[in-house]
Order: sequence, then C-alpha cells, then structure tokens
Amino acid sequence: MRTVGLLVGSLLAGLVLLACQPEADPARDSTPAAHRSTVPMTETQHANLDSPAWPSAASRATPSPPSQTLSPTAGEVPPTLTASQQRIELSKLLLPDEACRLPCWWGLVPEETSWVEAERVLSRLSARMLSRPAQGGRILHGVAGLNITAEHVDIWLSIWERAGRVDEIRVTAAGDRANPNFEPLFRRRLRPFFPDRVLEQYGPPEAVGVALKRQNRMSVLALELLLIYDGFEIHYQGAVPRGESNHRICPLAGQIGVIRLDLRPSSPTPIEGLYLPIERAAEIDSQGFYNRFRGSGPTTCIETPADLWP
Amino acid sequence: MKTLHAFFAAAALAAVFVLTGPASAQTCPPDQPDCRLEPLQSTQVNPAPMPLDQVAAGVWSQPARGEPNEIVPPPHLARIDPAHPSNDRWNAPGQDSWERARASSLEAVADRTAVSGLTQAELIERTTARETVFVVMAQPGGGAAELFRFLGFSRGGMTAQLLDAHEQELELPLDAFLDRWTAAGRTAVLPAAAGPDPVSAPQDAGVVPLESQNPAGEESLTWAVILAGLMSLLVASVPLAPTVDEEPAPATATPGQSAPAAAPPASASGGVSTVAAAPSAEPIWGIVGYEEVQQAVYLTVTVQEGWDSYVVEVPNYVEVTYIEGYELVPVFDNGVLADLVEVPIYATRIEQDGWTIEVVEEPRWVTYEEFSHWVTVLEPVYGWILPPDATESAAAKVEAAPIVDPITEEKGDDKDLEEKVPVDAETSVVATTEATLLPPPGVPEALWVLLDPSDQALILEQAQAAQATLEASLSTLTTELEWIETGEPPPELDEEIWAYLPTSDQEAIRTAAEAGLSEALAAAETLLGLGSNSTFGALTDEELRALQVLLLETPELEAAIDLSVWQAVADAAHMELEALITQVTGIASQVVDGVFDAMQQLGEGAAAALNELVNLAQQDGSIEDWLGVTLSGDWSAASDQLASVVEGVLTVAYAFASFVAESAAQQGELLALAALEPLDLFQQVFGELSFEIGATDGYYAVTTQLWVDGVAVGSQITLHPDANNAFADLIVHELGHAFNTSVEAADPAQDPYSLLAQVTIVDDLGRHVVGFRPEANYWTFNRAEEGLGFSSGDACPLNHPDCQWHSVDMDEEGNTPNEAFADLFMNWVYDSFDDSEEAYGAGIALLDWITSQMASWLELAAQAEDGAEAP
Repeated sequence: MRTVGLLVGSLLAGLVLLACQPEADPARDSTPAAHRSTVPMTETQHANLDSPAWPSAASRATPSPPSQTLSPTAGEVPPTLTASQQRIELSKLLLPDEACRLPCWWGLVPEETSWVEAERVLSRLSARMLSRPAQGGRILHGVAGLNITAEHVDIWLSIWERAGRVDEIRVTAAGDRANPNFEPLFRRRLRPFFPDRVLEQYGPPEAVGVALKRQNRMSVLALELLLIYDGFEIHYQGAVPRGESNHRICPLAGQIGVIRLDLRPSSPTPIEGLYLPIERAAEIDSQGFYNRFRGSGPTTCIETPADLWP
Repeated sequence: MKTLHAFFAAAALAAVFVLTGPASAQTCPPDQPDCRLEPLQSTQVNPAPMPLDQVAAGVWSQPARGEPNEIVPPPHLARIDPAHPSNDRWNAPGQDSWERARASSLEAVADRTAVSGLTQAELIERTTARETVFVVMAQPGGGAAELFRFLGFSRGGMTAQLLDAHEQELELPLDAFLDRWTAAGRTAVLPAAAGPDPVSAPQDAGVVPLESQNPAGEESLTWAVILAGLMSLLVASVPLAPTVDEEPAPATATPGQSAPAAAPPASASGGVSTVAAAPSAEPIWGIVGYEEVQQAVYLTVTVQEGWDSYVVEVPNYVEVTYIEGYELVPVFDNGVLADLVEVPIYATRIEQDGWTIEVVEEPRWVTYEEFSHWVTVLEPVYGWILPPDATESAAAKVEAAPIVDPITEEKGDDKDLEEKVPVDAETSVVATTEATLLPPPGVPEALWVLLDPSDQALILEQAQAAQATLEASLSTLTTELEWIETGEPPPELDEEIWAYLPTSDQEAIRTAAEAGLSEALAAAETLLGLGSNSTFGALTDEELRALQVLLLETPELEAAIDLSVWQAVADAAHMELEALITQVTGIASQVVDGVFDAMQQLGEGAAAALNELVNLAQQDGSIEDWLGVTLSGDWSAASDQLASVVEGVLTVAYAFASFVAESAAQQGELLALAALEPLDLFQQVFGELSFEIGATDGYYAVTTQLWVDGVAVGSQITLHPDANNAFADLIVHELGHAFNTSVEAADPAQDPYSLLAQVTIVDDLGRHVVGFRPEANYWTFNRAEEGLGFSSGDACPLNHPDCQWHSVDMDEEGNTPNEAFADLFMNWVYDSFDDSEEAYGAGIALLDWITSQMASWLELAAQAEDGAEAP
C-alpha cells in the first residue's frame, strides 16, 4: 500500500510538473536550433565602467572578438517588471507630461539630473544597460529592452553622463514594418512626438529641415524631417512617394517609421548641407510650418519641388 | 536506282548525324513541361522580377520548336553600333537590316553548288565578290559536319564570322575555323551560277551540284537539305583533297576525329602564285605578289581641270582601310578618306600598334585621324570606279586600257589581305576625290545598301577637309628630328619634365624614336614649348599625340611612367591630374573620376588609379574586356552609369583582393586566389556578368539571375536609363546579389541569403539587428527599422541614405535576407559599417558575421566559375 501510495504520489507529482511546464510553442519547436543562438536578453544588466575601450572597426579579414558580455552591477537587484507591466509603464511614460517637457525625458533633465537618479529610474523598467567610455570624457550609457514587443515598437536610449550628471539624451523609437499593423500602432504609441502634437506643445520650431534621398525604388524617397527647438531636436525618418513635379510630405499619413529625439545635443545638427531649410524646400517658413501642421491630420501635407531632389 | 537509294540512305544518315546537333537545343515540344527550357527566374529585387520577355533575347534563350526564331543581332554587329541612336538599323532585332539580310541569305541558299577543297584565299574572293557563301565545318572534337554562312574575316583576319542555321552569330579564331573547315574538306556551298573555280576547284570529284541531289529543284532549299546533300558526299567517300594553290593543311585532326583526306603540299611557292595576266573580258582570278599589286594598272584616265590636263593611272585594285576590328566601317575607301565615320565604339577603346596608341571614348562620330591603327585590304576592282582627283565638274576622259587581272594580295598564311599601314605611308594612300557610292569592298551589300545616302554623302563630303588636316599633321610629324642624331634631349623639352624621366626611359624614348617614332616625337617640340611658357592648356592634336607617346609610350616604358611624371606634366599644364589623364588617354572623364573615386574609397591612392587607367589605355580592348563584364543596351546617354559601373566593379575587385591577400597572409587561406590581380579575381568570382541599360520596373537597378538548365550561371544587372546620377554604391549593392548567385551556383545551401536567414545578429545591447528574430510575435526574418549597424543618417559616407539602398522603409522587400545581404555586402566592401559609440557594436557584429563567411564564399564562387563540383 505504501508502494502504491508512492506510485500515486509520484504520478501526481509528475502531472503537476507537466502541467507547470510552459505551453509548447509549435513555432518555436519547429524552429531549427541554430535559430536560437541569441545573447541573453532578459536580465537587467549594468555595465562595468572599467570595461575595455570601445572596440575599433574590425578588419575585413579578421572577425572581431566576441562582443563583451555585460556584467550586472554588484548589489543592485532592481524590481523586475513583467512584459505586461513594462508595456503599461512605458505607455504611461510616453504620454505627454506637463511636468517633464522636452528636453526632460522620464524625469531626467540633461545637465541637471544625476546619473545615479537616472539609473534608478531606468532600473525600474527592466532595461538592459551598457556603459562605455565615450568621446569628450563622457560615459555613454546604452539603454535597451524598452520594447513594447507585442506592438513591434522598439525604444532605446543613449544617455551621456558627464561628471556624474546626465549630459545628453538620445531617444530612438522605431516601429517595425514586419508587423502589418505597424503604422497605426507606432503612431498611437508615439503620438505625442509626431509633428502635429510637438508643434502644439512646443510652438513654432526655430528651424525645420527636410531631406529626401534616393533609394533603389525610384518611386520612393527616403524622408528625413528635422525640427529644431531650443535644447532639443526631433528627427523623423521614413519614406515618401515620388511625385511628378512635387513630392508630398505628409507626416501623419504613415510616412514616418522612426522618431529620434536629441535632448540637449552636444553637437546640434546643422541644417545646411544635410538638409534643405523648409523655406527652400517648400517655400514656407517655420511659422508657416507650425501653422499648417499644428493639430493637423493625415491629409495635411507640404509639397516640395521634385527638381530639388535626386 | 541504286544510286538514288544510296543517296536517300546517305541523306537520311546524314540527317541523323548532322541535324541532331544543332536541333537538339530546340527539340522540346511545347507541350512537354519536363522538357521545356529553363526560364529566367529568381529576380533579386522583388517584387519586381524582370519580365521574361525583357530578358529572353540573347544567348540565354533558345526558341522552342515551332516558335519563330527571333533574329538576334550577331554580337559583332551589336558591338558595331549599340549606342548611337541613329544606328538602330544595325542592331534592332526584327527590323531593317537584319530582316533584309536574313531574307537575303535565305534566298541565297537556293540554287547552289557545293565545292570542296577551296583555299582560304578563294573563300575570301567569293566573299568579297558579294557572293553568299556557306561553308561546312566539322564539329569541334569530331562529329558530323554543320553548315554555316560565312560572313568574312574580321579583327584583322584573326577571326572568322559565321552564322549558324539558327541565325546565331559565331565568331571563331582563325585557327579554329581553318581546323574545322579543313576537317570538312574545305567545302563551301556557292551560287551555282558562279560555278567551280577554274583554278582551285577540284577537277575530279567533290563538286556535285545540289540540283542533282534535289530533283524537285525547289527554290526554298533549306539548310537541312543542303546539309543532307553535303553529307551524302562525305558518306559516299568523295575525295575532299585540297587542290592546287592550297597551302599545307594544318594539322587539325583531333583524337576521335577523322582527319580529312591527305592534302598534298601546295604547288605554289610560299603560298603565293602568279597567274599570267591576259587581257580578257572575264577576270581570271589569281594571286599575285605584293609588288605586282602595287604595279598593276587597270586603266588610265586623262583629267582636265581648267587649262591643265594630266593622266592618272588607276590601279586595278581597291584599297580599303578599316579600323581594325570594325570591318564594316571603312574609313579609307579607294583613296577616299572618310572624315567622320560612325565608329562602333560604345565605350573607351584603345588601339595600339607599336608606337602609336589611340584612345576613343564613348559612342560618337569620330574622325579618321583619331585612329592610327587600321588595316588596309587590297581588293580587286569590280566594276567601274572614278579616278582619283576627278570631280563632277572635271572633264574626265577615260581611255580604255587593257584589262589585266583583278588581283588581290596574299602574304602567306593567315595574315593574307592584311597590311598595317604606318603613318608615313598615309601619303601614298591619299587621294582627294569624291568616290563612287559603290558598296565598300568587304561590306555585305545587303547591309551597305541600307546606309542612308546622306550618310554616304557625308563621308565623301568630309574627305577634302580631313585630307588637308591629315597632311598638315604629317608635315608636323616629319620635321625637326635632328635631336635624335645629336644624342641630346629633345631640343625644346622642358627640363622639368625630362628630368622626371629615368635615364632608361629617356633612352627608350630615343630608341623608340629612332625605330620609327620620329614623327610623333617631333610634335613634342610644340608640346614642350607649351610646357615652358605655361600655356599647356589648349593642346593641339599634335601635342596630345606627343603626350600620349611620352606618357603611354611603348610597352617597355609603361611601367616606368609613374605618378610623379604625370603629376609633373599636369602641374606644368596647370591641369588637374584627372583632366590630364582624360585628355591623354581619351578615357571619358566620368570613367576617370570613377576609377579615382573607387581607389579613394579603398584607400589605394592615386597611383593605383593611374595604374588601372593606364592598363585600360594600353590594353587592346574595351572597358568590357578590362572589367570582364558585358555591356548591353544603349549606353550612349549613360556615361555616368558607365562610370558608376567602373567604380563599383573596381571597388569590389579591390576589396576582394585586399581580403584575399590578408586571409592568405594571416590564415593561409585562399592562396590560389591571392595570386590573381584584382580584376582577374573579380572575374573569377562573378563569372558571367552583364550590365544592361534597360527596363527595371521602377527600380534604379535590378539584378537578375541567369539560369541555364536549372543552374544559375551568372547575373545581369539592369540599370534604368533615367538613373543618370552616379551611384557606384548601388552597383556594389547589386553586385551583392550577383555574388549570392555565384556562391549559390556552387552550393545552394551555403549562399549568403540562406545563411543570413538562419542567423540572429544582435548588438551589445541585445537589440536585434538583422536575421531571424526569435521573439514573441516575430519568428521570422527581421531587419531593424532604423538600420542598426549600418551607418545611419548623417554619418553614412556613401551616396545612399543610411548606407542602405533597399531599406525596410522602402518597401516590404527591404525586410528580406536578399536585400539585407546586398546592403551588408555593400557596407563590407566599403568598410562602412557603423562603428560609432552609439551603434553599440551593431555594425561590428554585422562586419564580423559577413567577414567570417567571406573566405568560404569566395572559395565557392571561384570554384563554381572554374566548373568544379561543389562540395
């Protein structure tokens, strides 16, 4: 009877263990093992500031040594958010915050906030962090893992620290066209940073630059739109269809796939040479741009003469 | 009756052996799917595969049985006028000249006679007599003979041009042609009316009028019937011995191949015999020596001009001068100089002959003077010609003279009818007259008649002016040569320039001058004077010629003329180095810039660029030969694209070479490839590669795999005709697609696309960069929207946005391994991956991945081109 009891107990225990296994993912199971060779991506990682110097470009004939493995900062065990909690947290952080206007980001103010405080904020988000020496005696902290994965929206930060303070922040948010619903999801999540809302929030920019560049498909041009404000810049990247005599730039009509915010940039982007000033590109000045796009919709566009561009 | 049976049996047997070869390529019935031809497929840039009807023309497609044969312009004609807009008549399939030429050839098939044992000279005679001549050639390595239409010899007599039964052009080296022709008894099918040659035709047998084999006597005699008839002769063991005048038959029998009947040595000495000239109304064909050619007189005329009258002797031969390799473009026809000739050059082409080097750039009308390398052919007179110096207003009294034999010249073996005329002999060739509009000798009449009369008239109208220029040039070239005798430097040579030349070069120049360069070096006097007074800019033709001699010179000098000399001349001329190179070499400025840009990108420096350009200038070939690629389509308005192709190919070639050299030195890999020059390595890796200006379905460039029998054999990169801006990096991107094809041809499991689809590349932050993305809701190939790892935005050193020519932003195809790899390849070639601190190692991860694969890919690609089996 004791034996029977042991057997039953073992069977039950086995059933419990089986039931507790994650549900098999057919897609995952069908994936060749070789596809799974990824780096660890879940744990929060803090870089050792004594990490080797930034690797130089590798020779074309000699592969570089493997990328360095990050080592978490000893003693720090930040709370881990689930994917759902992270998505909610990020969603909140991406809402307009009157108390934290650009170039403030998630409560971090360039040239004011200490890195210790910044680290504390970011740690809550289960972010992966990597720190390396940077040019100009600064330290570059890379922050990733802020993705709203289900929506294919990736967000990452580069934060430069100088003398213990946050010196400059670069925020990049990218959608992913692999997702068929890419555009509405991306626009919904990053809505406060699309041109119409930015103009509404921050008024006329100091300068607006436009660049259209060739891609292999002749009917499409790569778009770069730049809004320059005092203390921050916003870069929009995407694609616009090529027009006959004019190209139509409609920022809210699904043309933008990447938004980059440079907050208190150490090297402001020069418009001349890289962009055309909006005055020349579309015969409209910054004020006119503001008037047109502030609170606008997807049908609001500017046109730029085709012969200005490649 | 037995004879008839024997004939039909022989014909049937011949049909089996003869027709299976050429017909085998098209024996697939349309309703046999497993037998149909492999279509072109696998367009690299999706979703815009090149429509089949846009790529089917050319060597890759064969019409199926029952389908009309598309008339494809033979390569040599496509080469003649591929670019000039006014030359559609030459190269447009299904139009004008080729339709007519084809019709003409088909008509000519009827009513013919087979003649065996012809000599090469007789074959030429038949051809130059505007007869449509078919020849029988054995297959290489043995096997049944085939019938070809003989078009003539080209490239200075070094090759034979033929059309096969499918109207496909065949160009054989002379030796190969003679071997195969001799193996088939040197048999030709000639118009019956011409009859067997009284001198050379065999008297005993071997000449069987086809009518006797074809009782029906149908006009529409087909190739097959002709072949059957001819083969019946062979089967019936008709002697095919060469006849008199025949030079000893070359040893052509190959293992497994029955040698032709033994040919007795020719009775004539030195391959040249003389036939007594007897006045006759009917020409008696023969071969005379060169001296006799010079002395022969056909008639004399008295020319009356004003109060003056004089007698002019008209030789009974016509002297036709061609630019070598372009025999359909006579520039010197019977003493009439064509000032502007439509020269079949669509890319930079170099002509070198001893001390002269001439470069022609781009498709265009050029002057006769721009070529110093030509071939003069002496051909017998057929019909009436106007005497030299006669004009329409001149009262030319033609006096009848005894008609001597129309003669031609033969100088022995395979160089007959060819003479390279030195510059100083030009004066003996000159004449200043309008000429008859008779078809130029050597030009098929069917083609010549299609020339616009205005074109012909233009050539004639320009003759006078061109002649005057030529004479002035020659006058300059033949003066002031004393310095050679004194042993001093050229008298007015700027010492600054001369001092840059090593002693050996100075001596070589002097030696070369003594050996025949005196004319050109005399013109250096003007040039060097310019060097001293700083007015170098406006170079005259003579000065340019002198520069060419000085800087390009003879082969023994080329290695010694280094960058410093060029730079010194450029400084003296107050010119940019690139501009000087353009002016001296004639290479298009865009191409020069492209080469310099490529070398600058690669960090190779100006010396390497100069070296490549001199290689191009001194190579007896075109850009195609130099790069080892094929150019097709209309490049006349695509000079920037051509420059981009040059720059892109060079950039890839040197990147490969650098990688291979480093791999060989560090890892001991790729040793065999390390021995190759960059462009040779490029050709070894890419194999069959063509660039075309054509339809691209809305892309600047599209790469198409070329398939034959289910195997990818090469790639075609099509550039949109409107894409006029330079974009060498796009060429490199497309070469990434072509590179994949080269690897795939060797091992379909190891090609870059497949491997990239299976790998996951992340950066130091764990961000997905490219490849398989095993995250929730992905599980597929993915490429970061922002183009992580590629130089982004402002940082990209190349012409394209974000160092991606086909980014995710462009269309859905951007998110495929195909386009991702092409961009990876491009950034590997340019070493432009983003290694900035903000890339967090993304660029280096990409570089590492592609670098780790490159050695095996190169080995596979080179192996595939070698024809070795893939592992």
